[in-house]
Amino acid sequence: MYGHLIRRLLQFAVVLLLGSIAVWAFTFALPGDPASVLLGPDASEAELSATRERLGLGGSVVEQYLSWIGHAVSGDLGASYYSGQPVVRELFDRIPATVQLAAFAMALTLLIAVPVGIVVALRPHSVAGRLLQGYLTAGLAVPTFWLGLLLIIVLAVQLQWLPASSDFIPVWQDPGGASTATILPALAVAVHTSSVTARFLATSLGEVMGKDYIRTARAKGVPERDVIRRHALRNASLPTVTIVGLQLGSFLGGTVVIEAVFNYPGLGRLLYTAIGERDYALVQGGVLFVVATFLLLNLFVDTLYAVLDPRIRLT
Amino acid sequence: MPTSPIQSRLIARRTLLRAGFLAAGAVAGAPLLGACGSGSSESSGGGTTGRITLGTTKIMQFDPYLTNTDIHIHSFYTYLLDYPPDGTYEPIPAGAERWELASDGTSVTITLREATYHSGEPVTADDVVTGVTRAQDPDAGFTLAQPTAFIAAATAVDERTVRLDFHQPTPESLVLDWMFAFPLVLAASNTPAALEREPAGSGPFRLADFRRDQRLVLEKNPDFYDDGKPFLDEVEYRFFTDEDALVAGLESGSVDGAAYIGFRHADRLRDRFTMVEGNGRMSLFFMNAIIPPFDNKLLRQALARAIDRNRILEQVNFGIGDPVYTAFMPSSPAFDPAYLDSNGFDLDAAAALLEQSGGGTSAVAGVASGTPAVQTLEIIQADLKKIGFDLEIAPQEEAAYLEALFASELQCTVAYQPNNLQSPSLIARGRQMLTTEANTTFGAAVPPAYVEAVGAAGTAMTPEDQQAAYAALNSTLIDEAWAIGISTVPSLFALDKRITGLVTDARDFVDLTDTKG
Repeated sequence: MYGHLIRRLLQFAVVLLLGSIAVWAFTFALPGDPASVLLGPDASEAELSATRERLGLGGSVVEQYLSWIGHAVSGDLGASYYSGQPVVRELFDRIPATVQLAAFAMALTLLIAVPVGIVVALRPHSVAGRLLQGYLTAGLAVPTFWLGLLLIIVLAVQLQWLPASSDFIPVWQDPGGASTATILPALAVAVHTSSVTARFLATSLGEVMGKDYIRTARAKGVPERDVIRRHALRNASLPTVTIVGLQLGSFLGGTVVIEAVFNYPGLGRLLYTAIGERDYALVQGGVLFVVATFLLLNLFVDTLYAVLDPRIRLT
Repeated sequence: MPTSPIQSRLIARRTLLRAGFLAAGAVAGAPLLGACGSGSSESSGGGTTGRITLGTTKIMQFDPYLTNTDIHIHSFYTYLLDYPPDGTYEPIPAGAERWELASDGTSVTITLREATYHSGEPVTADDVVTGVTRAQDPDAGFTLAQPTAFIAAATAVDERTVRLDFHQPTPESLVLDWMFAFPLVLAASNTPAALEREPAGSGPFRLADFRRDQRLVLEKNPDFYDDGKPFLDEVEYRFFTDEDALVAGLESGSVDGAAYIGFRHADRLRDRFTMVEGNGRMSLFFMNAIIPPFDNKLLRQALARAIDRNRILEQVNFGIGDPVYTAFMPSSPAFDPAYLDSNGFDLDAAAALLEQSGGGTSAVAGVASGTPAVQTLEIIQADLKKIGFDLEIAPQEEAAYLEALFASELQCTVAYQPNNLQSPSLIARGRQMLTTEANTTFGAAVPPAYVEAVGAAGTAMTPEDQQAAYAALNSTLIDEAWAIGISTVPSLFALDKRITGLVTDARDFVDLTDTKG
């Protein structure tokens, strides 16, 4: 177990390093100049040059990267070109909003996916089963941003039940306000993710229900409810955990488009804006954080495997 | 009692139904719970007396030397004088209590109003001197550099009196325009680095909170020189990444007003909101005289005649704004509507000129994607095709577009220019309009006639001389035909009907001093 963890952490460091190089190359390949975006169309060449120097864009790309990675190792990701604030502070300012959105989206995903997956697996030919299969297809097919816009037009603009956009309201300060602010973007995300999750669960559950040990349990007179809950669901949950873990990683990485559509002030919107503004420091630091989060979640999911299925041993 | 498989399946179905109802209840209940929780929230749906929330998609700058038009700068800073928002140029004392031009037009003595900055320090003549020094530095003065070029020296006479000496006799209109555009900034903070994070003005509102692309909160400045103003206690700007999201936020009640929105929303919002048109800017079609085929003056003149301003006004501006021919707004003393008839849209004349020019018949227009400039170019493209000129439109993301524009790599484009106020010599502020080799459409080959005409407009003292100078400037612009006026582009605001008194000044800066909510 420990050997496995150490190996994974080493892999983690290597992937993070490669990720940092890729992000660095990507940002410098972007057309446009941070100084010109910062100063606007009336800036003179001398002003642009002075600003580039001030932003640390004077040396070669390799020199800049080495300087940046040297500081990054010690936790200093530089300062945002726009706000002048440390990148770490900018990121940590937005993480609570994204975590809250991810939590709402994940809760809705599970609330929808688990019953839908079970019905689709156990009653595929029933009316409910067929309807829910339609939901799964539609949920996968409909683009999240389009659904988000639809929800805004219907629920926010036409019916005015919910705001089309909102500030971040921490759930621990105002649960009602937080729910109002977060429910629409969370729902827009959850329709897609619940379709994916439910489909995995249904497939997995369908396979498990045909296993010998299920037949044995039924033959022993175990109530069907317990057969499903104790034997089938637990075994079928393994592949579902994988997909849920990956989805959680993508949530925390920032549901970029949906945060932009709903004007939700999370990590995704921060990075979206930073890319448009060519705020290299923020983009590089932010993406590095997202990559690290994703890797850590993968590690967590692998570890959770062993907890859910004692037959799996991490060596 | 043991249950049969059928019974257990029924139980399972009930369990599922129960779980389903619980899930649906949780999903449906969350918003209701939320609605209960936010009922006491102060800003949503707004209109609360003394506080308004405005949405914007614009990027914020706290440095008044770096902005051409903006939503918050006028709240932070006091300028030496104001013009009324109705397009007239009657000076109203602001930071300057009074001013006196020398009879020979070579200097002005300005007496500052007794006022304090938000930091509590007094406004002094030294602050003006420092500001003039910064503005005269082309590397730090941005759009203030050219308007300040007529000043030879700034001297603090005493604590509240400053004298500006000019290089030569200067018309009053230019001096007043300069005073209107000159912000009072605490000398110690008047650098790009210091103003990047914190404003240092004496305007009607102070900075209360700023969170990058989330919100900017302004609070009333109780020490503002104009007693009793501003009326609002607090103004919150909420940032949106997308204009459609901003308008949806307005329609759903998330904000009380939406600032600087596109014309396409006007008709839909007009019934439910107060629509306010600000002074805005102008759209111009720029042709790069350094790059073929636009190095051919006759060809530029030909294309200038193929721009159907009325169609652009109707289809892109939704009927809002006025046509312009050269780079002057109708409120400018240099605006001459006769050119719209004599040199306006005429495809036959355009085709004849194009043939006469013997120039190329194709070009690529760079443009910032997602802006109305794309639709404007599409209309121009269709008309140019009728005279045998192929214009390809290449929309680019804004950062890439700016880079190409700065590097003089664009063959042609549609871009926006600020109002030139009452002094037409201010035309030479933008990079495509400079009289120096930094001009991005001419480089070192800026037409001498243009340089001369700008200079003459900046020194003509008598009304007769001024009219002659403005006519010469228009004539040069038409002859060289690189900056073709299309239309005014008023700024558009949609506000909750309870909000009154929001205006923009002649530069299109939002002024909230008289706003009530």
